[in-house]
Amino acid sequence: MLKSMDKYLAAAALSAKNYLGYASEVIFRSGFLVVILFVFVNLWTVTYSRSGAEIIAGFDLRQMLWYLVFTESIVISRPRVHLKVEEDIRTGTVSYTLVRPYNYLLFQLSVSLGERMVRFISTLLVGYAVMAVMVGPYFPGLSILPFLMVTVVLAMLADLIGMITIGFFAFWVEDVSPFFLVYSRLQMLLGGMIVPITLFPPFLRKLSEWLPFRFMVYAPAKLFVNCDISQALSLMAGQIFICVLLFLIGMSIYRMGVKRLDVNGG
Amino acid sequence: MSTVGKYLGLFLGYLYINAKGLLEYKVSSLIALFGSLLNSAIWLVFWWVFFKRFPNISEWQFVHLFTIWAVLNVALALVSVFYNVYNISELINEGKLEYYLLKPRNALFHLLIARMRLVDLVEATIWLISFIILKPELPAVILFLVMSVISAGIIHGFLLIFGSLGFFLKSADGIGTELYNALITFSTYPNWIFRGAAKWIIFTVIPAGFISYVPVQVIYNRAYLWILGSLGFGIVLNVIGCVVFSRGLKYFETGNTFVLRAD
Repeated sequence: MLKSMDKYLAAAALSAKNYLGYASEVIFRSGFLVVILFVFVNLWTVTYSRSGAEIIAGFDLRQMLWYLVFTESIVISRPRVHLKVEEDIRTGTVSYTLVRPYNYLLFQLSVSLGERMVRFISTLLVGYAVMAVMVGPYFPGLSILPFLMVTVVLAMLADLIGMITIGFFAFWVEDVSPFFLVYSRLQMLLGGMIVPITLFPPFLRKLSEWLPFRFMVYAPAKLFVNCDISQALSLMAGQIFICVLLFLIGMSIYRMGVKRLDVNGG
Repeated sequence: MSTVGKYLGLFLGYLYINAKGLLEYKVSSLIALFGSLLNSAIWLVFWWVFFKRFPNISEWQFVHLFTIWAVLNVALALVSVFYNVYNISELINEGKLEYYLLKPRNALFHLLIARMRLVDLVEATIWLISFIILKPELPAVILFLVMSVISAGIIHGFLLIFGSLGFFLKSADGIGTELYNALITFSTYPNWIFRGAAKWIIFTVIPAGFISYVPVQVIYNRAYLWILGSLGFGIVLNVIGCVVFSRGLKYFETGNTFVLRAD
């Protein structure tokens, strides 16, 4: 089992190595991140100050701001893997992969994870620098770092499997972007990217708890500012469950799609 | 035919061509419309949650936030009638400007109207209807329309200046895009969250205050003097943009890339 995973790890490592060449470009093109963090600092500083509350939705001001740095870094680092899958299906490239000794979903997952890790670290560095200048540095406890790394990887895996699954819709439709649009916007709100889900009124919070998005964004960011190891373990269990569930759904859709694949020409 | 008539004819001709294009690509236009509305809806849910949680945070309520989103979106739709204003720098750098220089019409006017994103006008109509439902008072609706047109002028002038800098700076496209993103982002937040230097920035370098704070002041507090202020600012931006473009045109040297028909 572990041996069969070697090729996927190699693909992820190679992709990360390739993308390292573009890491500086990611850093220099982070203007939007700087602007949005500047706005968030202003919004939440005023909100905490005017409301007189020290804790809002379970976060103090510094935690809220660092939470937002983390959620933005996770989401902004997302590669467009759904478009790659869509293109492979539309152009018929996917048919060549059928005879290769790998699982197409796992292969795309490995390649996009490698790229995403580099993008995430680059974006987080920019976000960290900006926020450190604006509100002072933040150092999460050392003991939480291994758990944090695992939850970030699991969060990214779950998100990437979701995106690849959306790409598989290209077996039936020409353009998958509307599906991705709905997915990304639901993730933005109900995943807790722009605001922690604990701020929601009960019905929205319930909805968020029923959907997988909170495992992709909210949960790792909460761990980053909360540093609660006891929560980390249950969080990882939830993330692994979501990854497996999404993988099974993705593979079912892929198999259904491949059955109706019809490629013309050579 | 008078000069005005000729230019009007040119405008109507492009309007016709672009409308046909819209009908040709109905599905992709509808997807773009759906995407834009969905994005706005998500942000409005965020603001609804925010004001539900902090109802007394300021004199602003959800309705004010809805108004700035509506004004911004109608303004952006009006700018989309001159969609190439987003691409001036690219047209200059990629040898697509020459096409317009060869025609017996003002090059800037011609390139601005050559590409329109008319689906945005459908979105503008949806925003207008939503605003009317939210505030069914004729004076408010008129002021809403006036401020949307002025905001469109400000955004257009802003884009024109930074696009025309493409004559002088190779990286104008990147700088312009970053500043435009900042303008749009700042425009969707209430002005009272900004303090210190940021308060000045949103009325100068990144004039988002004219697109968010001013329309709310005019529509809800009837601060009519702000209309003149915004209008003046919009005119100044567009005049500066035209001057930068015409100066750049004198500075312009054609390259070896020559595109016969561009966007």
